[in-house]
Amino acid sequence: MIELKNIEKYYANKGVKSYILRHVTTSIKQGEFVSIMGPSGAGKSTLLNILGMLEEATYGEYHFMGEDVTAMNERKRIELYRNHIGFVFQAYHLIDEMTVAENIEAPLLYKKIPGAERKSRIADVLDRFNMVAKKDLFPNQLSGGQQQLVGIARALVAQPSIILADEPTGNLQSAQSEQIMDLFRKLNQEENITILQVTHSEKNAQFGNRILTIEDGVIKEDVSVSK
Amino acid sequence: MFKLNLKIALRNIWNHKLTTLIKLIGLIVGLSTVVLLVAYVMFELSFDQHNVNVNEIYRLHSINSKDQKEEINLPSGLAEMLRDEVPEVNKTTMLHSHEVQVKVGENFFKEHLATTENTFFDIFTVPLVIGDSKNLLKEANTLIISEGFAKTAFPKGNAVGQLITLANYPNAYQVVGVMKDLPKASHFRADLITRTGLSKKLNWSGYSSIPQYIQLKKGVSPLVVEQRLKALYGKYKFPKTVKINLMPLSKIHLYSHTGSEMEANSDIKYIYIFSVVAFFILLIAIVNFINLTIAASIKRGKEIGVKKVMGASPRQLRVQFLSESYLYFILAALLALILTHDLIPYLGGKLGVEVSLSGMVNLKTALISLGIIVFAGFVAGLYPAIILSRLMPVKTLKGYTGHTSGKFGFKNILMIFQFCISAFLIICTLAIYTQLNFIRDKNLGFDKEQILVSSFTMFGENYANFKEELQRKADIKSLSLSSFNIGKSFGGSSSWTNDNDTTEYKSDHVYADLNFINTLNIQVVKGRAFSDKFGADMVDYDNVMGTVSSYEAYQKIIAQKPILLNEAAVKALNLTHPVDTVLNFGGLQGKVIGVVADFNGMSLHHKVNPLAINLSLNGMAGYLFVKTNSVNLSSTKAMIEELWKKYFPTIPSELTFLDTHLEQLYQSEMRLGSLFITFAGIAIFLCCIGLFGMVFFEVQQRTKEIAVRKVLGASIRDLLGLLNSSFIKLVILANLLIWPASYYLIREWLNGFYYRADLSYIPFVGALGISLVLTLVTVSLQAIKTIRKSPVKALKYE
Repeated sequence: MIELKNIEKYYANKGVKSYILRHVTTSIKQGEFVSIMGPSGAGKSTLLNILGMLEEATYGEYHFMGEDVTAMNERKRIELYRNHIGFVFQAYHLIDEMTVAENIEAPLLYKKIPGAERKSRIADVLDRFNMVAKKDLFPNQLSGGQQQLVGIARALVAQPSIILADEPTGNLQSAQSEQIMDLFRKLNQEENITILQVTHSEKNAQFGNRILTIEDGVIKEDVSVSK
Repeated sequence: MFKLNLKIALRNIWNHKLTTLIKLIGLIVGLSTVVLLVAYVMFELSFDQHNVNVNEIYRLHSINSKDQKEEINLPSGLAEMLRDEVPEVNKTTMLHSHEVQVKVGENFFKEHLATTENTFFDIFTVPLVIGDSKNLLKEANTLIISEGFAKTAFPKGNAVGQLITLANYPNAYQVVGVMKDLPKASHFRADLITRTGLSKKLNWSGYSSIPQYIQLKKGVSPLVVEQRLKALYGKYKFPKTVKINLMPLSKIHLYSHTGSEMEANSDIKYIYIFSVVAFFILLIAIVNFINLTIAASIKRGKEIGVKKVMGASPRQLRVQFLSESYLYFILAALLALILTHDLIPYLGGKLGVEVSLSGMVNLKTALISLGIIVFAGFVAGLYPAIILSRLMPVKTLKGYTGHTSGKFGFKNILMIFQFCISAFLIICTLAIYTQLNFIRDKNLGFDKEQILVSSFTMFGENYANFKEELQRKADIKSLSLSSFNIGKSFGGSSSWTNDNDTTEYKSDHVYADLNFINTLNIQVVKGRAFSDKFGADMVDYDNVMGTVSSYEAYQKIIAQKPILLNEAAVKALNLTHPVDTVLNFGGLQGKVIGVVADFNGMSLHHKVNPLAINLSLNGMAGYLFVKTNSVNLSSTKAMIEELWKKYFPTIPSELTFLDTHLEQLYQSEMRLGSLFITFAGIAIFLCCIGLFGMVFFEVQQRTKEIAVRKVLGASIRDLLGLLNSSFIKLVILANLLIWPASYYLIREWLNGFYYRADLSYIPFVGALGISLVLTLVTVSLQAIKTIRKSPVKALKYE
């Protein structure tokens, strides 16, 4: 699903290149649950951003579902956002002016899904996440864990093939954190959704089936999680 | 999607009340100004458009090739001559209208009387309510009156057949018809219409003050007529310097500035000035909108980023932000309409315009307003939409800290632009008021306080007795009857050519009684004033013709007629020893007994011209000047009116105070002044609330910086200085930038006055001072709240 070949990212400052990522080469298959780990400043988030096409690599090849991302135009990228990629953020990033239901509905609007189907999908997701009663509340009326549930629901409702999550539980307490991780595992196992998460927590990483460790911009370790 | 975006926009409007309020107020004020302007311009452009034949009707003007002066006083019969000679001329009429005192039963009214011909009703569109337009005004001494006047004068509704007397007209007039009221937007007014009995033969010695109109056949260009006129100049012995010009009816109100307009015309210049100023004010409002929208985007960066990663295209985001702008504009436009609905009549009064919003509603104004809203909404929404839709999600999601575009961003340019406009308006306002003060304080060379002046009155035989009794009253210092209509006309003028060197001389003439000089307290610099102690001053020169047997005898007496010259006349005539010089030039004949200092009898727009004051001992008509000793002017006025009634029961009295009378000469300047002060006020207000909003965001963005500085020991004053300095720099720069342009424009305007205040640095420095103070106050008011907050919170938040 994802092929990275020799990805480099650096900032040139007065002739000195400061590298964020170096020689990153890896591939991720459909249905994997990968955790990216490493110390602060190692380049985890940058890697995730590049994978999510939020940032461009300075050098290297990146194929997403067989297509060359570096040669991709904006329209095509928007197309991928709409149909294949779901984002989950550490700070949830719900739109404050929208209710829970509206936040979940937003990606469907951009996907131009007809009204009736939108309604049924939202109802479905709300039901699954046990949030039917909260659908008309605004984000600031929810707890952090609940907000993150909405964030995941929003990412899921468009039926993506991959979810990119940047420290999804970084702002949450451990109980809530476990609940979210359970959810991710379930989605991965039952719906075969590829999940890529950046995390600091060894415990969270254990929910997945593969761990990539990055240090100083280089992949140091790539191990499978033994169950 | 539209519904959701609308919801988000409304929730945004609701959640950020301060910004919303600032944006909305700005737009409401800006759009209201534009609506008012559109109302005003539409009114000014609608003059005489109610006439069905408006495009075929022309007024005849003469242009003197020597001084390019345009006049409507033409030889009578000119229009008829054109009708007979030029096949393209369809119909002709004469028309003159002026205010008269009308007496109905025991009541006096002041109304406009139009003197015209029967063809008037064929050319101009004046629907009749009662009467048959074919036979109207066939008889002499008949009148057609307006519906409005009929209602006030004959409340019982039986106007037709009634008799009406007009002051200064000998006969009674009978009402034979009632017409609809003329619209306000007409270059002449008429409450009563009667016919004139002037001869119709072209006569170059008989100039008529009655303007002449022609109606061309449909589709004929006036150029055709002007072409044909060339052949007629010779045939009818036109003076070589005179050419006839056709003034289109629709242009009279804005383009005709002859000395004898029936109503005070406006000027296309004003339309341009107000359009430009209103446009500027709208721009200020738009700039506020743009700047505040972009500043507020700090808070919306997240929304934009999230939407982008959910698959929103930049176009969709642009559409969203544009629609939000339009939402504001539509809201503001609706509120502006409500506001202007009540404001228009009020401001209309100020502008001398009578319009109502409902009277303006038609397809044209609706389209214009819609056009303005669409255009302004687009301009205001586009820039933020482009900027915001371009934001990279990776930045906005990590905590976007505002749009910065280099050190001297677009935001600053827009703010400088705003400050430029408001500085310009303040400078203009100050300059206009400097000149108005100059006018008010200028020593005109005669007294203007404690003097009452009457309108033109034909007193008749009883004047001597009236004068006798009035002079005996304790409050009355002196009185004088003369032909001097202050600010409008001295009474007469004459011109002649020197036979030796063909120099042209021109002199104005006042015809006045013995007391003229001391009543107005005009300074005599050489010789003496008129006095009953001199025999030569006690001769009734006006009636000397009938008492002498020969022309020589007449000449001999006239050579003794006492004349006062002003200094300008002495200079023009090049008299070294003016006193006792005997003058004999056409209209200027007599013996100079004294020289008076130049006084500004006309408006200060014009230079003091040569003037001769002629003695008219037993005049019985003219303008009465009464100088009083009394402090209580209104009781003196009442006393005079009482006496007036006793001696002239049929003549209504109309006394005004000379100083108020003089102020009316500068009505258009005062109107300009009050408009500029209004516009400047609006502009300043908009700039200030815009600034208020900008500081709000600036402070929010710099909360942490402020907190750190505070912890490091900065005082409140240091921090205020810090926050103020960037705005102060912009204000100073904007002021300096606008100085040259405003200097140039003000100088142009002041050049319209022969007597003018010096263009000093005061308006410029004053405007700078006002801008600086307002900026300081605005910025500090907004900033002080944040500065006073405990730094702990701001620092902990990070």
